[in-house]
Amino acid sequence: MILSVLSSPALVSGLMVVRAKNPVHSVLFPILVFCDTSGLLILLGLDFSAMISPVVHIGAIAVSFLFVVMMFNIQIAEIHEEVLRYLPVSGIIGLIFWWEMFFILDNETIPLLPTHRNTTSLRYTVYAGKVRSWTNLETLGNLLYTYYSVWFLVSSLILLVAMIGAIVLTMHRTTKVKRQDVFRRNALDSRRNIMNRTISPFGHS
Amino acid sequence: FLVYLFLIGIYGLITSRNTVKTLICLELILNSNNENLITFSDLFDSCQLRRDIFANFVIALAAAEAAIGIGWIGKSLLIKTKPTGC
Repeated sequence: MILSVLSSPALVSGLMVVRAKNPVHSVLFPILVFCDTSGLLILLGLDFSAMISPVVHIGAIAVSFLFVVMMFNIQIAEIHEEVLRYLPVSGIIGLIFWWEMFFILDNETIPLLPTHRNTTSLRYTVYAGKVRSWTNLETLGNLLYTYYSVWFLVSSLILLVAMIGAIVLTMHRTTKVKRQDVFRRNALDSRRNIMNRTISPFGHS
Repeated sequence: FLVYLFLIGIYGLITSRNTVKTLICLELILNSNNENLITFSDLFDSCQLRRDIFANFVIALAAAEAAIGIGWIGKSLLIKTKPTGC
């Protein structure tokens, strides 16, 4: 529990994402947040998720956000907004949320012993009764490919739809223009329509 | 900790008046906290590591909607800067 205090920069950088004036800072701070969540997952004993989530979150999502920030000229945010004006209503809503979270968090004050039942390691007795020690990756694969294989394929379909959707959203206009040019250009007879107008060193008009 | 990150994500999501980009960025913070809460909830009685697998699907969903969202927002920002089609 003491070591997870090392992951309190996650909270600070989370706050800095909201409050950062430069938009580049507000993209760099979630990278710190994702690093800290992976550290927390390592401390919980989930080694597979702790290695996968930086790869996905930092390597794909944060990099694409960096692309968006770097390529488009986003104006630096206005500083003069009266933040304190929002504070009574938002403070009440925040306090209600914070108070409600304590109903869920009642179990979390128990020390770290219950969290060890997630991984099947050699020292602890596993609930499923297996004697051989499996790694975290093996247990995930055992369930994912046998019992939940349909969900796995559905998630691959979701990713495929996301890829097609991203391409359709962005390339909708430019490829259409290009396609008309190709068809029309093939229909033109070059000697009749083009070479007549320009004085070109190639064909004789 | 993760609950507080989740609340920060919700707060930033509501009050992100700067650009549309930070709105999606905080949505991502919310997703990371969501999956952390899922993997952290082994205190409840549920057998056979179901939440780990569900967390993987949440990761995949987050990546997919981040891709679509960035494409959409990027296109809208691109139209703002360059109105002439290339």
